[in-house]
Amino acid sequence: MRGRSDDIKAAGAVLVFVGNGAVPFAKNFADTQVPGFEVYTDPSRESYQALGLKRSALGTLGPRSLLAALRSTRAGHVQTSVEGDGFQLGGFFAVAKGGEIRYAEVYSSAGDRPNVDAALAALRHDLSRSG
Amino acid sequence: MASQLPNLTVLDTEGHEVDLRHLAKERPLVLAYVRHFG
Repeated sequence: MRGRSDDIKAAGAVLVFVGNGAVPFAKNFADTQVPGFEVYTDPSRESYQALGLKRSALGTLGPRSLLAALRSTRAGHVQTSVEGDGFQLGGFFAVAKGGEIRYAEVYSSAGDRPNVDAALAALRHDLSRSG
Repeated sequence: MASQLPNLTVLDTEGHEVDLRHLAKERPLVLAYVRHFG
């Protein structure tokens, strides 16, 4: 997704990351993994629940996740530790100015990847108006 | 699925509470909820 950050910026949207570990982990993630991007954390995971995001042992340890981890490791992205809830799954949202959710992906596996094009398409009307 | 961002707070990297809805008050967001910070 970081590879698509220029597309997101060019479209006039802001890429924001939210995790669920302690604040120092969020700071480290911001500094080392996604420098230049906004990072927030929700250790209570209340917003994860409110957004319908899943928590699953199978989703994080199942075959799809293991294959994705292998692909990621081969690409040079080595996961060194789990800094947060190890069974929590993620999601991906396009949010219009004002807070309306226009597009949502609720992941079922650790290997799920965001569809950035679909998210930007969902915001296209707003982005063209803000222009 | 919620149609609006929930009325909840998150913490920034300095530990300050931030209203989730405030993040989108003036700009559209592409919001990535990560599994963990690993």
